[in-house]
Amino acid sequence: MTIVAETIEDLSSADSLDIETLINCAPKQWLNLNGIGTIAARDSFNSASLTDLGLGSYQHSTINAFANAGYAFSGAAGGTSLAITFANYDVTAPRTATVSAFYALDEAATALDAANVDSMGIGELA
Amino acid sequence: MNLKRKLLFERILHGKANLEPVQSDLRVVYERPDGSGISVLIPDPNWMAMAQAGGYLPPVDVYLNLQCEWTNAEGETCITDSITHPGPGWTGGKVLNGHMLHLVHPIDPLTEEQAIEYLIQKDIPRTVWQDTRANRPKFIIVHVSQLPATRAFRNAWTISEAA
Repeated sequence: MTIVAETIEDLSSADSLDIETLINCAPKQWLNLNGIGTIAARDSFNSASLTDLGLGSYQHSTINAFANAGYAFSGAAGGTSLAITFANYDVTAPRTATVSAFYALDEAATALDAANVDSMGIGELA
Repeated sequence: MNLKRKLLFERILHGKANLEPVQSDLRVVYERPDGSGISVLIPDPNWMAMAQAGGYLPPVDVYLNLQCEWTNAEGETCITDSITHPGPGWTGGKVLNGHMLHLVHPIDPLTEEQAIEYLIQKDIPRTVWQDTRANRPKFIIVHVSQLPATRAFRNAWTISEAA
């Protein structure tokens, strides 16, 4: 079944939202991976491959490219006793329309492998 | 449902909802073009399911011919493929011919090996797999069990010439 509409409106408040806005705000790509041992994706969407670039360093590629390299990219890492943060790195491995790279870092900003690494991209698709 | 008439993103949505993920045991080990070490490429299970089912993915040539336009502070422009960034100072990366992802008919089912060859071309820099001047391969396809059990010294891995 297909519902064709331009806006969605809340019955009680009459607040409305353009369908185009709704589509643009939805994540277009996401990935959850096991970053320890032989790394592998647990689940994903619009993901073609992931690449182990080294200690705590990962790269992700999309199936449907983004419209440009200016999409929003975010994530999180964790799963060990150490506090782990996520860093999206544009200096050593700059982002393109299909590829983005990121680090899992401990609290001293040292890269380390993490059991749970999540990433997602939001933006307009090509 | 005729997926051939659907946009690529719609085909991905359909694949995610209807196909069982395929966790491949194959990996591609390659030398990074800048000489900074070894990388290991792992196929995504949902992507592998779509590749083996057929009717979802565009031909790899579409990715190889995607053109991205970059600009720098001087207002100069340059064009690269979709996985290559021209370097520091270049921004934008606008895809100029993204419509090809949707308009070209999706490919037929691939074997696991064919799917890996597709990914090598799509996601590994051309200088790795298309270098005809090198006297040894810069990448190898391995079974996951062939990778070293410990990753402690991963940043020092090299591809043996015997491999």
